Amino acid sequence: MIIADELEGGKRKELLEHHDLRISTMLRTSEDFIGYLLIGDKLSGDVYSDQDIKVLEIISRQLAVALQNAKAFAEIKEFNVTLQGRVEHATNRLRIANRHLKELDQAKDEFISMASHQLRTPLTTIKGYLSMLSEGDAGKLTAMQNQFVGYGFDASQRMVNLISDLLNVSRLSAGRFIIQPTPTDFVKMVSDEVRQLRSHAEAKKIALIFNPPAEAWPLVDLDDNKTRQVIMNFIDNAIYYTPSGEVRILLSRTPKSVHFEVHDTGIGVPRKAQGKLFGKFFRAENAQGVRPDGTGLGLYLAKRVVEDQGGTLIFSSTEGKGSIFGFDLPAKASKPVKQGGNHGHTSKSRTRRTSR
Amino acid sequence: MAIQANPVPAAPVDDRKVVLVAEDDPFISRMYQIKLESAGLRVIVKANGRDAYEAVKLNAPSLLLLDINMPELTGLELLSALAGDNFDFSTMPVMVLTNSSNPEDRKTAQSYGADYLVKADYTPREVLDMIQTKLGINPVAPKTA
Repeated sequence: MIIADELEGGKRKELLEHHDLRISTMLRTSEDFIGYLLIGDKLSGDVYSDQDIKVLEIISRQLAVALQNAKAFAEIKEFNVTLQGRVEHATNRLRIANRHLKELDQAKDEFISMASHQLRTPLTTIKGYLSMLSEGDAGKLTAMQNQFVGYGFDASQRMVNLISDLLNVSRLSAGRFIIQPTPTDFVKMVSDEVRQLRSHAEAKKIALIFNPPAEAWPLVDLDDNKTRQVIMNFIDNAIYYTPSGEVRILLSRTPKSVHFEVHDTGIGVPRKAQGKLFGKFFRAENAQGVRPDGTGLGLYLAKRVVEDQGGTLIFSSTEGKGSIFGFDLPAKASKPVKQGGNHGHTSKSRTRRTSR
Repeated sequence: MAIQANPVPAAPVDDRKVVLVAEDDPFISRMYQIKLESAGLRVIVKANGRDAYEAVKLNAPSLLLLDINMPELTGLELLSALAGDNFDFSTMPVMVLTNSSNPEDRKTAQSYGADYLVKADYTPREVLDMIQTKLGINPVAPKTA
């Protein structure tokens, strides 16, 4: 603390007196220099006593800290405001980017859907006529003609598979593969798929056994489309890979979950393939001979769908004997929702299910 | 002109089962027609949804092969129209054959009790097999391996 009156002459004293200042003290904390406290004459005109000086010394220390805090507080406040502004700005840009991405993703989906449709149409014709040629619908073929037609047919089938792969892989990308649960009639879902696949089983002369539960199950929250696809995939696979015998479907539930299993008496999965079976694009060696057009994506997708819904896959198999594929899905009973219209069906068409 | 002494013999009764093919692509419809007729089925082809709808009502086919993308009425609109007429679907199995695999369409088709199949996945022979199974007909020729 510098008290003007106590100074000997000099620049400092002149400076202070020039500005009518009596006392100057540096304000500092243990780390920083804050500024100067400059005090002029007392309004009363009295001189500064020793007591005053002592008080000022104490105050100046605390003043330094208070000023530092105030400054820090002001900085934080301002920082907060700028930060807020920046966050809002960034969020806005993210929102716009997100919307743009969604539009792109949707455009991509539409493009791939349309492209696969367009590609499949001529392929249907190519594959169809080549198959009919080799079946003799246009007359008997020489061995060589048959061979050539076979090559063409196989290639067209490969293209069909590639297109399915393209569709499936594009759907796997993050944007599209979102689980969207809706209230679902699980038993009906399984029955629909069983009915759909019955002709396939009958064509192969294997028994497709499914006894729907007698009592009605409550609606449960599941992703209808994706779960349906898994069910179809498991049953269809079982039929494909079972040369003779039966495919049996078992359903059960607990208050918190639904349980679905497909048992087949088919070729089974070799032990060393079992660990990788649900991997992307994986196909067991014994599958290739039975179903050359398999994509290796079905089980991978099934795993994704089941696990993304919080469920567990069920799988066990003995090569040459048969397999069990299935899942356990947590299934909360849906909130009661008024049942939607039935597409203008008459009750006659709804009983169709049992008559078939 | 002399009056005919003997009555003209009645035309032979056609008791073949009738399959209605509703498909606007003429190559594809011809493909199915050839295959199905070779197995002893009678095939009616309609290339637009409205004609197909009329044909269902007129001919009461035993089975309907139904494309989705057709002019006039889409396959699903046709089913909706039939449902609106209180059509009894138990008299006519429906196989929706399409090349766009759209999960919504699939659900709609299944809600009418129809099968939903991607055309490119099946040869005409495989489609015939499925039809024969649905109609309870024994296959004419042994199944190729």
